[in-house]
Amino acid sequence: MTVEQDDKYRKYVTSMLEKFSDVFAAVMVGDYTVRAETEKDDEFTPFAMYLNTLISSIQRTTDELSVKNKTLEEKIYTIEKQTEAIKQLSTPVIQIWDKVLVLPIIGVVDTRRSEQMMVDVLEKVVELEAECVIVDITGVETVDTGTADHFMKMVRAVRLLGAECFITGVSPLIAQTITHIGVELTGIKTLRNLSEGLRGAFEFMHYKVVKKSE
Amino acid sequence: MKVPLIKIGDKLLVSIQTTIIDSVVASLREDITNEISTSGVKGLIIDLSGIDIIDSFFCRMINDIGHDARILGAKTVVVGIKPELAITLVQMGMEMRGVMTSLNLNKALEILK
Amino acid sequence: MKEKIYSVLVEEVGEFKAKAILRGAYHYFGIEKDKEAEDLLLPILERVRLSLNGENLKSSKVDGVMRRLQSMFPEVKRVQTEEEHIAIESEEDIRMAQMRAKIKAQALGFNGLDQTKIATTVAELTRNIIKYAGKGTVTLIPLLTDERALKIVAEDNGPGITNLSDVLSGTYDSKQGLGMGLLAIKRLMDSFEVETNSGVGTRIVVIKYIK
Repeated sequence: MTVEQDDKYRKYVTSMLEKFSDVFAAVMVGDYTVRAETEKDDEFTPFAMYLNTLISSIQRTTDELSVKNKTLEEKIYTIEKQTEAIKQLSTPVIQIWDKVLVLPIIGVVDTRRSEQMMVDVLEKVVELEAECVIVDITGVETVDTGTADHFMKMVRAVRLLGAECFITGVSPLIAQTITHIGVELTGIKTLRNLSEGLRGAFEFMHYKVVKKSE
Repeated sequence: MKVPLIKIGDKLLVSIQTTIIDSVVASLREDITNEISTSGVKGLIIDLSGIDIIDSFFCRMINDIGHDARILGAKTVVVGIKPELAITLVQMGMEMRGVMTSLNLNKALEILK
Repeated sequence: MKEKIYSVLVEEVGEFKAKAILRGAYHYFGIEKDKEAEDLLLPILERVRLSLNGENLKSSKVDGVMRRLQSMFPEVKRVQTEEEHIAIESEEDIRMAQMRAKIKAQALGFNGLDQTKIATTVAELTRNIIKYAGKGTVTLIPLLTDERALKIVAEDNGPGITNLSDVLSGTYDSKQGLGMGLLAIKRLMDSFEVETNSGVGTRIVVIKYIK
């Protein structure tokens, strides 16, 4: 090799190394679109090809991951939104008849939730001038002293406003538990199911349901 | 400050608009019992729609007045308790014993009919 | 100040109701039509809240409007952080103390129900002071750590409570109703402590946290 050739070769190697450096630098900061040159056919070509394969595989994995992440984020967002919705929907106050409200309770009743339920129910009582509130606990699986106490308070608060309050949907199991833990639901009207509750409300308001004569 | 008593037919309406102090309570009780026994009204309506706080003292006063009225042969209906006051009362463990409650004046009059 | 409150109310409840509510609030404190009353901002806001309640609005809606109003005035921020010392010497102070407690609770961001509980508690505490000790003090202390809260301290140099445990267990039924009042406070607040010494006085400390 002449001195001239040697110098030329060195320059070529340096320029190639610089080009590879550029590619690595780009990959390092997360740009997977870059590729090493593979047009020439020399000692650098296999190296460039391996590098390119590596980059595209990183690119594929990252893309897949980011897609998965995005779906996950969307799912989390949906879950958060649903939790919020459930929180709001968990105690809807429904007007099932003129001046008759139903509060279907599902799940666990803690102090905070029962307080929010009371606020919602009482505001609705005032707003709609309701005369009867039916608290339906069909969807409540277990009742402890605390839960029973929340129901008692709810009934008392409704009565303070001047409306009557029934508790319906007391399952045999819950009835037994209440007896067992010794909670006395003194003065509180409990009824078997929602339709009995509605009947009770009609009775309270002096309504009579009759079949239309032909 | 004096709480006005209004007679509507055979009913007596007492509208308490602000929290009242002990001395006023004493004279209010006296005024109400006097009015019931002299005019022979059959129903007493206590309107609390203007009240923002009901403490145990105030609650006891309402119970006492209701009790007085019952002894004198008149039924008592308490009207217009605000939702947050009702919740606070039950959480305090207070009760309104011996009095009926009603959402508004019209219903109270209906109850006493 | 009047203009600011007015513009918010117009957006929330409409022109005419806004005018009526504002006029009512200013009138209540005897402020003349074209006058301002910066020093009465908080009591005026409290009157506005009462009027909004009177409109049969939902309490969450009322809370929302009040938050909007409060956010416009630096004065409210001051109340949020400042400790308030209230001397209780006569029956009139009971009403004043409970009103100031309610304003404080509202400025701190308590919801409508908890504001009522706090005002009721202060009513019980101050009434006990007047009834048993004659005079004393109530201090409202905002706690602005991670959990925001209001601490209320009631102190007097009265005769003290001799049968505290009976009173708090509900077995003691006082004719004057001290038992009921103390029990009520305990049930309404998140934390409740009593220090009492016969003949020396009573110190009651309660705390309510913002949920």
